[in-house]
Amino acid sequence: MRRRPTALLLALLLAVPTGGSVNGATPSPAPAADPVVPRFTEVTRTSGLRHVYDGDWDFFVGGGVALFDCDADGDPELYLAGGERPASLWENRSDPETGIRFARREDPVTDLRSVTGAYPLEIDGDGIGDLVVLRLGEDLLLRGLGDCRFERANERWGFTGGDLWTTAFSATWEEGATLPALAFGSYVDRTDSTKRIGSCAYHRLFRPRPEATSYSEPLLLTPGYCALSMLFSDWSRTGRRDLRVSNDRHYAPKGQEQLWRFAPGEPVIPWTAADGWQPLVIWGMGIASTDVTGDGLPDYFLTNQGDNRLQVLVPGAEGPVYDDLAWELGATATQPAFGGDPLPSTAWHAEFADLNDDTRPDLLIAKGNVEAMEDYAERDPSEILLGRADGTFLRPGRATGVVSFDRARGGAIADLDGDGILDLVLVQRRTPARIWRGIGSGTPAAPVPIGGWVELRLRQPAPNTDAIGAWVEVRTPGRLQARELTVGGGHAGGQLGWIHVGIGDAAEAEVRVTWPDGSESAWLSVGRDRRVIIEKGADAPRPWSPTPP
Amino acid sequence: MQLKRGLVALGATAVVAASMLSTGAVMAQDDELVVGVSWNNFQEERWGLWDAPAIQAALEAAGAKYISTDAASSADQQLADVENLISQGADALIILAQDGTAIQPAVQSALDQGIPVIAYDRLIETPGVLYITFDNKGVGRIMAETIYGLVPEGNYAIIKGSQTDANSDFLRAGMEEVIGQAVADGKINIVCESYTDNWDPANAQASMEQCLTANNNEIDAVLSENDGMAGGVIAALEAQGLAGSVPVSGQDGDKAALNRVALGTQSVSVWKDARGLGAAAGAAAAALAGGAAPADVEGAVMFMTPGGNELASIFLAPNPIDAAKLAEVLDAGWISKDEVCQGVAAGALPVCD
Repeated sequence: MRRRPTALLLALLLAVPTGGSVNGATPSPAPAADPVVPRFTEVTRTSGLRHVYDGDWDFFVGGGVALFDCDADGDPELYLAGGERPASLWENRSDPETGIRFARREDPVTDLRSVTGAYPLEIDGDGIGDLVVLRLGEDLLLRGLGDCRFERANERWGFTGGDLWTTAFSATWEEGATLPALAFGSYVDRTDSTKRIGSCAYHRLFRPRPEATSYSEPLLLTPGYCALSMLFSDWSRTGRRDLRVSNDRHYAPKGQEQLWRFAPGEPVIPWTAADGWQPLVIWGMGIASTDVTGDGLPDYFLTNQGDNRLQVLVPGAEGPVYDDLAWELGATATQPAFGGDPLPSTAWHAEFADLNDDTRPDLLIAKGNVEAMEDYAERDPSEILLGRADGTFLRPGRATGVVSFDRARGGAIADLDGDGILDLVLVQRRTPARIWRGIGSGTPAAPVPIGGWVELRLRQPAPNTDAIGAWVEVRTPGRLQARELTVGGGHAGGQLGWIHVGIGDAAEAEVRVTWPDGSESAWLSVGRDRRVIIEKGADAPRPWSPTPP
Repeated sequence: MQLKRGLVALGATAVVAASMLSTGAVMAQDDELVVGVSWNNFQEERWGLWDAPAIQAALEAAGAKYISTDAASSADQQLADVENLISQGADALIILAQDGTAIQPAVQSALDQGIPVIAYDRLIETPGVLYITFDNKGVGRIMAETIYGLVPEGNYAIIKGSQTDANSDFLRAGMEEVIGQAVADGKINIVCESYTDNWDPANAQASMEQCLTANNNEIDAVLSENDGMAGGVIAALEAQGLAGSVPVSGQDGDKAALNRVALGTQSVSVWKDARGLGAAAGAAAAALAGGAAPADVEGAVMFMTPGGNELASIFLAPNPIDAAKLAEVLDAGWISKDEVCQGVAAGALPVCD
């Protein structure tokens, strides 16, 4: 039989503290209370954002969005892939009074064609965010110059962009490295003109030259199984960040999900069944990661056609032994949540965030038919799952107000207008990208926050100024949340900016950082609804304020 | 709710495990044979309309009881469904798999308990199952036989389905069995042959337009791998005034295609009558539940699967519907006379009068 969760694992899930003390008594199996449904209102028209991801076969996949603050005003900008159309950069001109507003920043450096996705990343240690651009053709590293200006930096950093169909990316800082290691994942082999099943290209891993600020020729990771998402993550929380790769079985029927082992000084090789890594064959499209079960370890939501997956490390396992708890926890989201189409869904970008600030992770799933696959739902709305205290998920359907039957691909969650409530962006194939403003439990005219929050950014000396790879723990009465800072995953897009953590009705939170080098901060107090910078070595968080003009 | 279902599934596993220790197969309380049908997604209209009634009728005729589950497209749900059917006393299972790979552990578990399994319409690569489907290679063969009978020599265009769908190549292989020799002898000239992304009729139309232009409209016959694409092909022929004079094949028994057969613009639509599939599966399940081995079930042949397993299999012959056989789809209730005969001139076709 497929591995069912052991009684032990289910018991652990049920025993997750729910805010009150369990007092050693047997936990009640009664379902946890349903969370408050956060509401959203679509503001695409008034936002000014006008963008379409488009193209034929080559752009059936992709369509990611990079979300990051390139003008240091605290509000995130958007950079959206355009496929055969130009990618576009949008400056954030929002504020809580006027609402969400974006203005196009035209620039030949960023108005690129053949872009499938993009990830923000501070590469060179100058503290100004850079951009990794995934393309059909040459991939690009764009160096941030401040004020949302960029320059092509492939030559400066010795990066060869290649000529592949790039659809996945992740980055990590290896010990002692001056620059991040960059992993680029490929889809179908473009040189194989027959586009046949099984012709997947290799992946590339760029590592910096020793003691230099440029990259070596890439290490080729084979076999590739047509990746659509990859993520460096410290899955065992031992400080080693391995590369999880989610693959599309449509073009790699003999492939499987992969986890590449990155041990210092050792060859990069995939974990195997002998290590406990179970073969899993899915139409993998996106990876979202957070600690769902409350055991302090990251869990991985993998988007798919039909059943989505939630990979949870089996307690006590020696190696990367994962069980799938999506079904048990109500997170398969197999068919459209509403709209009546009876066929299974096709899911792409997925992202965890606490959308109702109740301290439990919620999940955005971007959905939409590939093109006209008749075995899958044609009317396939994107949806939100809401986490309950016992680890299960509520499926509120259209009650969130996010109702779109477009073919969604990429997505992002952030507070776009600085009102403290998270907002949503979805990039769609062939139709305009959409923005929804979060209004909590209120109305568009009078938003009402559901819970309190803290927003954090980490800072440490170069390299890795954003402390990617750090763990952030946030403690409130009866609840401990753990977050890993990663770059990668999702579907062809990622975010770099405020780490938004819901704290429910707590008046303040205590925050502890485990820095990428393993050193720990003290528990630091952060007030409710505050944005703070946490600097390595500082004994108190620094309140954030915009850089003076 | 989901968590409770998970616990129920665990309970079912425990029951199954206990039964394995005692007697092997779990029998219903009385002597009536029980056949469990695991539908992958019963909300899809076809199964309830055609297949399920045919299975039920066949089981009733054999004195067996029908129980069923619906996985609503979830491969995980279907694993639990199979366990449930077994715990309800199923003596044999008919499984329409959501995912032929993911279901394998449940199928193996059933077989280990002595409960025979029929892979219905979709292949499950587990040794010991009985696979029942239509003969897809046969569909290609029958299409080619019909068209070759009309056009034994000349220029052929072949419009195949999606490159990523193995069926496209099965169909093409079946065609080759019929026309291969004539091609080798130079009697048939394949002037165009192309795959069609997603079996999209619009793409098929574009391919056909290109083919006509490249060959000065000198196309004598078109082998289209399904009805939807045949519609695109015929639109391209129509634009050149050639619809009705160039034979075109198709499959699926689409309503629009059957109407084109009546109108004379499409030569044949190969029809796979789901009732026949259901009837065969019901009868086979009753036989298996009664103790027959898969290879001994009537009509079973040994089939080497793409995965390298030799499975006892029943391949139903598809039915080529040309203008002379339209009465068969009408009699079956597959399509109404109004739909078939729309636009057909009075007196042109007896079945429409």
